[in-house]
Amino acid sequence: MSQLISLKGVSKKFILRHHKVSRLKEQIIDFLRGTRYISEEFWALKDITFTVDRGETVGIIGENGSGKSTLLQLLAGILVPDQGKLEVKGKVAPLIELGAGFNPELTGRENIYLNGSILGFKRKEIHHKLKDIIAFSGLQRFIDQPVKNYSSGMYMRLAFSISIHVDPDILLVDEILAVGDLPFQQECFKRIQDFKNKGKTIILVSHDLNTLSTFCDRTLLLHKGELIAQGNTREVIARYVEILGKPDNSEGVKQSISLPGSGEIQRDGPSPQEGKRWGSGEIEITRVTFLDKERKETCQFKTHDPFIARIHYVAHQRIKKPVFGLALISEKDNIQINGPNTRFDNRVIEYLEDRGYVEYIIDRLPLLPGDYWLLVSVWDYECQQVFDAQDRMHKFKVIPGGTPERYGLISIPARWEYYGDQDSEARNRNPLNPES
Amino acid sequence: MEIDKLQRKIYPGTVKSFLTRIRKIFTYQELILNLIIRDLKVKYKGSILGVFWSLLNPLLLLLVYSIAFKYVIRIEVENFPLFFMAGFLPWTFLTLSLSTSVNVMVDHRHLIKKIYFPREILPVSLVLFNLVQFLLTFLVLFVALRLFKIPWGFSLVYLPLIIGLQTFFITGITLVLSSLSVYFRDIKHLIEVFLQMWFWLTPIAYPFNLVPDKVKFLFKFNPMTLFVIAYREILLEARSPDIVLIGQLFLWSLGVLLSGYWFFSKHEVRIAENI
Ligand SMILES: Nc1ncnc2c1ncn2[C@@H]1O[C@H](COP(=O)(O)OP(=O)(O)O)[C@@H](O)[C@H]1O
Ligand SMILES: [Mg+2]
Repeated sequence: MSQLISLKGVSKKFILRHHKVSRLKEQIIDFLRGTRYISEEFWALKDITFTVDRGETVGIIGENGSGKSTLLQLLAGILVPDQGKLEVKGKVAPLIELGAGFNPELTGRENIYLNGSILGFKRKEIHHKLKDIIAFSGLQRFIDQPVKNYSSGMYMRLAFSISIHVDPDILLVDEILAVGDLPFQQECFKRIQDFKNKGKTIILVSHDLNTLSTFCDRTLLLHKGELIAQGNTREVIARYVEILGKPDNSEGVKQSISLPGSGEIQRDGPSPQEGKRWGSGEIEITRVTFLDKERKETCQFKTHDPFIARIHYVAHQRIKKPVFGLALISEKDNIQINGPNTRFDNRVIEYLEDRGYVEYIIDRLPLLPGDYWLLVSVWDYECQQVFDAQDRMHKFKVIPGGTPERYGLISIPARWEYYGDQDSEARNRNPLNPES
Repeated sequence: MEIDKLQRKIYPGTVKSFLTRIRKIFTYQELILNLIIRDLKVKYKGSILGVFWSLLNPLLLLLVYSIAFKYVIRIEVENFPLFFMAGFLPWTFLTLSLSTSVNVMVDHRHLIKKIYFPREILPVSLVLFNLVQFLLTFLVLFVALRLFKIPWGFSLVYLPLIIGLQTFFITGITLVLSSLSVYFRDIKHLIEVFLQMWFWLTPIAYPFNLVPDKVKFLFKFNPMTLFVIAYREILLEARSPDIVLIGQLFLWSLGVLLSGYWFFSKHEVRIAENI
């Protein structure tokens, strides 16, 4: 069988700048002052080696931020490796992923033309295919409306339809199955199956282990940018579950939250699904990091330490007044400890564009030693639509040493007062207001 | 398909030969055409009204400057409206291209992040879109030349050459600006200020011979001055630009285009990850 994709020792680094978007003005000022601009390198993929043959369907799994999307972008030629050798033969379809991909201002039809011409089709050829593409997408009535009015399901239908009709050799699919209703998901599966039956090559990124076992001949496991396992899908999934350090409960019930952060986790009934992600994808939470008082990344805190959860996002379009929410959940007994959001705190974010992050800052972390999950989500202002929600995909640890307290879940900032009988003066003192 | 072969080979960001790059752009002519048509559609959606609006701005400016020159500054320039337009229309070609080039990458983020295509397609099609608009306004100028009974001469054969050189010149600058804009989003404010200054340092609203003799040579370092002089000689005086002027324009245009391409090719591989 012929080899379509081959990677040898491929690495990719990103330069992280500490301001979201650097301002020329600031850079000039920094330069005049002689301060070096702070930027750090981050290797999102390290020394990746694998090959894919024609007709194979290969899955990619890994925790959030492990480099799955970066790998797909390398395969698509969107990004270029910093080290190693990458060879892709054959035509690659436009990346199918949430949110990105179409110009929201243009109509569906115009987007078809634009996408087609990027793939090198002549106007005439696109014209020929247009009818099929529209018919396949089932969007006849909406095709002359701007894409920004589409629901995420309609959006995906169009994306799939274009990708399949340009007759590519390789289809790259990034976590689209996390959203949408059941009929939509089934439709996606059907499309992928069709594609597979035609003997095309598919690279499929998914969090859904069932999907992977159904479709993939082979699966790659990424962990912190490294390819730590590849081969038989069942075995790789087992390894992945082992890494997550928890049993595979993908059979569980999904959907557990109603309001950002503050929502109730259903405690009776089947346990909500760990590691589950859903949302419409206009804003994506790309990474969550925990920072200590020096703002260094860490996953371990002591009780009463400062604690910062930094939520990195990318907004694929301009979104007005989004609301970020989160919840702290104790791992041991799945108790939700709190559920704050930016709206409760009167933090109105006028709009989001591009990349950036929000921080949730606790000056003195009240949690007692143990493992904790962080649930993060981002919603529209009315909390009607969830853009991205990640249920228990991020974890941190509180280690002993901050407080001798050890019963319960939290250490509430408080103090004890002692009143002996003989001290009549103290007895009359109001403990909550010692001055009076 | 030919694109597949080109797709990955040229990517490494080394300075490939200029000709390879040009060839690569030609394979994507359909995309360029689509981008231009789309921009034209958006701009002239209300058809007649759209055309009207795009002409209104230069006409209003023309009115203001005519009054200023006649009654305030009191310089008599023969056929001032034509004199002004012959400099102002090429200038508008430049300013529109430059000031929009700083948005072109960000505006097409959805395409850049979705699939590979040579990134210079975006600035190039933006310049070509502005070229089309420029040519449309030039048609109006030709009508005006008729009305004012300015004779057309043999010199008109130089016009396509000058327009072509100016297009190269502008393309070179937009390549630099569009790649810089990925890293420095506030470059657009800087450009606005810069263009304002450049406008007044170019003899567009005033004749070149009003420039004091002592600094005339300095003005000639400004390529836009040279372009404006050439346009005026061709259109208003039915005179062919002399060989020295054409030589200078050649050097400027190709120099700026090549350095622009060199700069762009150094930065293009990192565009996708930074927008
Ligand atoms: N353009 C970028 N600039 C800087 N960092 C990035 C960029 N794209 C991705 N990253 C970082 O690289 C890591 C891997 O990201 P990604 O490939 O999206 O992970 P995954 O898809 O597995 O969740 C993350 O930590 C992410 O924040
Ligand atoms: Mg991803």
